[in-house]
Amino acid sequence: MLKKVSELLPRTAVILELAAREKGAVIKELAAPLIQAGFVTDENQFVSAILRRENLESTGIGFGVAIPHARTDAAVTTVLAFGRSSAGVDFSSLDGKPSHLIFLIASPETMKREYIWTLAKLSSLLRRDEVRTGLLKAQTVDEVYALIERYERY
Amino acid sequence: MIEQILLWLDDSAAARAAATWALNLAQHLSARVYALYILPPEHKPATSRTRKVSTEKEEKAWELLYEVEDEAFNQNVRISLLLESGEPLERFREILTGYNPDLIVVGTAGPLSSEEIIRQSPQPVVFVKKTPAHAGNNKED
Repeated sequence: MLKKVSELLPRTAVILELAAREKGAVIKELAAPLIQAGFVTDENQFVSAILRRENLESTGIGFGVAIPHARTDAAVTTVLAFGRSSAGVDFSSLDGKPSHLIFLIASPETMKREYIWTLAKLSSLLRRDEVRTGLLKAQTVDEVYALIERYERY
Repeated sequence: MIEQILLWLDDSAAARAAATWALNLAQHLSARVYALYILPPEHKPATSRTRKVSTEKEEKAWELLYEVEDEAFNQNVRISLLLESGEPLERFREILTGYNPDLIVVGTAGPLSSEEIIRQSPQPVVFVKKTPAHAGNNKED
């Protein structure tokens, strides 16, 4: 049974206002709680894997959303981190707009199915106006969870 | 010179074969791939049931796009994913105008007839047939 998006997001990995402004620094800031919680074991390996993908793909999916992601043995399980940036971060989105909602996905090499499913589920969820607006307005971590849980039930 | 390839995906096995073909070509040419999936419009009234079906269709489309993205990554091919909704012909025309690809690659069982795609495309079009390696998808080609 594949886990829901809300189940893959540890509470400590929700950052309501990112301090970093540049893509690489944002990825490190989002990776930090995953490393601290032991979901990612090697920061350099993980960040390199994410940045390698960033060099080949635009993980900014438009609408102010970016989903940087990587499958790497530096990840112990499939896990998410979420950060919000009022200023916006350049993730080379095809629509040319900065990303304000950033979800980082880490997954082990062996969990391809769960990884693809999580990317698909999250991308579908974040294409909905009401989800993006709700995430931008959420005042607390609880509100972030409540919103995701509400909309991932369809 | 082919620098940008538009790969039009759908649920067919032929589209999977087209993806493999397009990625191999892109790898040889160091070209960028735009992987496109167009979700046709829903004509049924919005109910919780139709919303669920529509969400499931969108998730399936994203799954396919990310599968291709993963394959592209393994081949060191630059790729961008495009999920669009609307009338396929209309959206296809807009994508051609917006991205100006040098080549279009599509499976033989795509959402539009081959004649229609050729008629709309100022650029060369390659149609790829289902191969035994890509058989086994739901949609019959």
